[in-house]
Amino acid sequence: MRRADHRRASRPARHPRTGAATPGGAPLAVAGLGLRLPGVTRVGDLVRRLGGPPAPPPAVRRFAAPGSDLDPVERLAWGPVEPRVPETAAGRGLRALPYESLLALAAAASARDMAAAGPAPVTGETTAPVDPATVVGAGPPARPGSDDGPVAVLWASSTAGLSEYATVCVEAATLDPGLCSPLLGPASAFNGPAATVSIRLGLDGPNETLTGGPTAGLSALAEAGRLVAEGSAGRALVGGSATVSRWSLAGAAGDTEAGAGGETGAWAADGAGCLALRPCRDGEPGVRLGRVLRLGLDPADLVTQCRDLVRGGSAPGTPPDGPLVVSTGDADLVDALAKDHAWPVWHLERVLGDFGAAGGLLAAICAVAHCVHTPPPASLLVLAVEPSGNAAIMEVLSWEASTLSSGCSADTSPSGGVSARRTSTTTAS
Amino acid sequence: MSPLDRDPTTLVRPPGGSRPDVVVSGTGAVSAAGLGTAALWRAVTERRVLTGPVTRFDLSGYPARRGAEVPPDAVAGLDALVPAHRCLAARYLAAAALEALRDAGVPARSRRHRLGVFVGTVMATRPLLDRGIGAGRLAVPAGGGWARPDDLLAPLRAVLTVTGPAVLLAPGCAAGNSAIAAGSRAVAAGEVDVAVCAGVSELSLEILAMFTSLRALADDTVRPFDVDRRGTIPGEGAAVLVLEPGERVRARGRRPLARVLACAAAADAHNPTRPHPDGAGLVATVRGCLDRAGLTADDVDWVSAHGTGTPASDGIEARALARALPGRRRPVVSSVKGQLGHPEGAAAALEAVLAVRALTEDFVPGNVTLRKPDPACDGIDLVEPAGRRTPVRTVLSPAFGFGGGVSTVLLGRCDDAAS
Amino acid sequence: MTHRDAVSAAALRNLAAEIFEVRPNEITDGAAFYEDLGIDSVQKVEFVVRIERQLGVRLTDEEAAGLRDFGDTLAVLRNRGVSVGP
Repeated sequence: MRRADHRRASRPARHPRTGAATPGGAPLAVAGLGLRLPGVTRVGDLVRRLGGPPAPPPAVRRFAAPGSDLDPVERLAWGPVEPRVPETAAGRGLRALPYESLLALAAAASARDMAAAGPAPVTGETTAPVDPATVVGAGPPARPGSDDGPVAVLWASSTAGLSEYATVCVEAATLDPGLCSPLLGPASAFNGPAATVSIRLGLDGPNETLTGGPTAGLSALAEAGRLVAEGSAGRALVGGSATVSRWSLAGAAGDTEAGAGGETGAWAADGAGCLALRPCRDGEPGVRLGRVLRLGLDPADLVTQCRDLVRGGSAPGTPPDGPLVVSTGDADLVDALAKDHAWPVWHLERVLGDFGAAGGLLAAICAVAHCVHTPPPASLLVLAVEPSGNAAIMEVLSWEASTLSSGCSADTSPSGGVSARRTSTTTAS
Repeated sequence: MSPLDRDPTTLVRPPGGSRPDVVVSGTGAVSAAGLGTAALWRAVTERRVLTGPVTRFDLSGYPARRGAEVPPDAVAGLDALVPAHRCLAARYLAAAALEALRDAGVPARSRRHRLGVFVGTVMATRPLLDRGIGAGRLAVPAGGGWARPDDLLAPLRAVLTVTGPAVLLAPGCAAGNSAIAAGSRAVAAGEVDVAVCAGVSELSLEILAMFTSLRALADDTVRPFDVDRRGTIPGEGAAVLVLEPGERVRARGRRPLARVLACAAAADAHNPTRPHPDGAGLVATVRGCLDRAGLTADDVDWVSAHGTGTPASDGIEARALARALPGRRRPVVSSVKGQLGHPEGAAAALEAVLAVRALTEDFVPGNVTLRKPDPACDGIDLVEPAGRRTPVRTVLSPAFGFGGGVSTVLLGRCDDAAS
Repeated sequence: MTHRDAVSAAALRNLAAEIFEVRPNEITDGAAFYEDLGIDSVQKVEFVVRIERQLGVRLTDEEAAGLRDFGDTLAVLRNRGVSVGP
């Protein structure tokens, strides 16, 4: 019965009630979405990847670290991804930007442009493309924040700046003092993506970078909710990104680099994703982010605690009502959760790849994609868990209405620039 | 429909509405002054300049060879406090957190409260890679780890039980203030009972190499706001503020050390390495803090400036502070970086610990290395090297860095503050 | 490259154009780096470091800070005994 329901439409889940859900965050509506992910050019591709059979493994890529004693290696890895920076963010100054900053900028600009294009009600993929000129060519790009407060930028990455950091180390070892490239150093910290998005898009709200494991991506969404709730920002661009390098492969591993995701099918990946978020207006249709619960679990027994989290601990015996997207390096944990979850359980790392700290954010984007492609109301839970016990769980849902107004099926075209898609039969919301 | 989402407006606190009382209940520090908040405060008030020749790396051949290192005896002293770990910054962090929790009277190992950690860093564990820098090809250290930023929390997790969120913030050199702001929001929202807010950094050869190429290092002393300032000197350390709801601290018979009056963040949205020429982000955060706290410029008793000693940045900061704090008196400003160097990820958190001390001791540290003020500082009241003994009720502490992120905190005295 | 190699002004102009992300013909002797070409200080220092790496010369902080345009760059190099061709 439940399964049958799900094939038509999933219904909103109860929010997990273990402990206290985080109050003080504003519910945020998804106003735009930008993706630069391997093998994904539109939201529909994400949904197909989630629901379809496992994708074939990625191609073998070669990774080298010249100037160091790390030998080149060949590894299965997702990517590379063409950044395709939209015209609204292009121009001079891109050449010196690190690859990951370019991916981030491109994803953020797409999300921003989609949000600026306004409500674009959609009912699925039967959509006609909008002339990109209506998005990118109608006068200067919209500068969000002009009337409803500054735009915050929050970004999750564990790899941004790593290649630049390592290259400075190589140059410090191989060149005389003072001859390291001055452009590399400032780009060698984690905050290149967030800084680039802020500088190139002119966004002067709070600018934060979160790093660590996949929970960071969900924490970025939680912090965005807080910043909007307290009035520090009117809207937010929240994204995550990752890039694979010889340095990330060697530096993430222990003494051996065996595996690199191979056993679990979670191969390292390049890519970026970004959500444009704004406060929910009361009763408005669309996709929204529900509340987030962040907590430190006892690492000795993650399966039981995660199961309780997903079930909603205070209401035992009440099964959740929707699919679950999990971002974690622990495939066994996901398999254990899938065993007694009546709805599909999708493992972000196996579906799309290992994006490190961006994982939780990309899992949330998968949930948004599912909501866009499922007749509302729909609801999912997004869970991120790290071996330390650091965990976060968030609800993503579409509001009860026959159409969405978030414009979420609009997406990047394969050929570059922005193309938005919307239905020709829409009703004003 | 999810019951929690029925009335979303109830989740949104109106801007300017009443904020829960978020207080500082404990502090901890590891710095160039050694282990502990007391050692840090003593060094600062005794006007000691803690920059000196770098001993941890071979800098022969470098034009500027100075740093502000945690002294070797203090590093050795960590062995008695925290577990071994390859990442020095991770050990600084764990030691400072233990001190701060002890100071607050909060048990480190308990699952009966919701304790979250909010840690600001610039490079996390990446300095592990520096150790391969010698002559010739980079000799990459065995064991990896430099691409696992969460390893920064490993020794911390070994000494304390994290039952709430663990959030690593890496927004550039405003990191410590970002952590304080995130922790303060979590306490105010009721997400955690205890927020361990930290900033941490270890001296990095990569950063020394970078600043050498940028020609941004002073070869003698950091002189914030001085007309002859030549650049900055990297430092290191960790600092922790324990934040809790005021009533929780009072309920266990303790007096809070200080209150978090407001936090504000913004971005210059201007340039990867240069502040906005008008200090736009800084001005916005200063005004944001005052607005939120319901205070005016005249209420600010000390501005603990970012003041890194770099030629371009200090002048912009001085003018921006003068513009953002127009009052009957010029804003009272000093930077402790003349003494501590620039400890990057730890800088803002160390300055917050000093701000708490300034509030409890009624003493404003001076610009110890200042000789001749830059005319750009005419609009601010630079504290003389000796410092000032004066009532200190509020301290404003701005921080900013590469990438243009600015984060400012405003701390205030508790009416019932200790001593 | 070895020390005191002759270098052509055209090659240096191309280097500057690459780092500054402008066309080589915009790098005139008198076009001010900051005001006319709109570069920032890090781009300028990158230009200096790349020259130092290629030519084996080292500029002092004062020399580096004093470079306002391409003409200054050529003059400083010539002062250092680098023979700069057309």
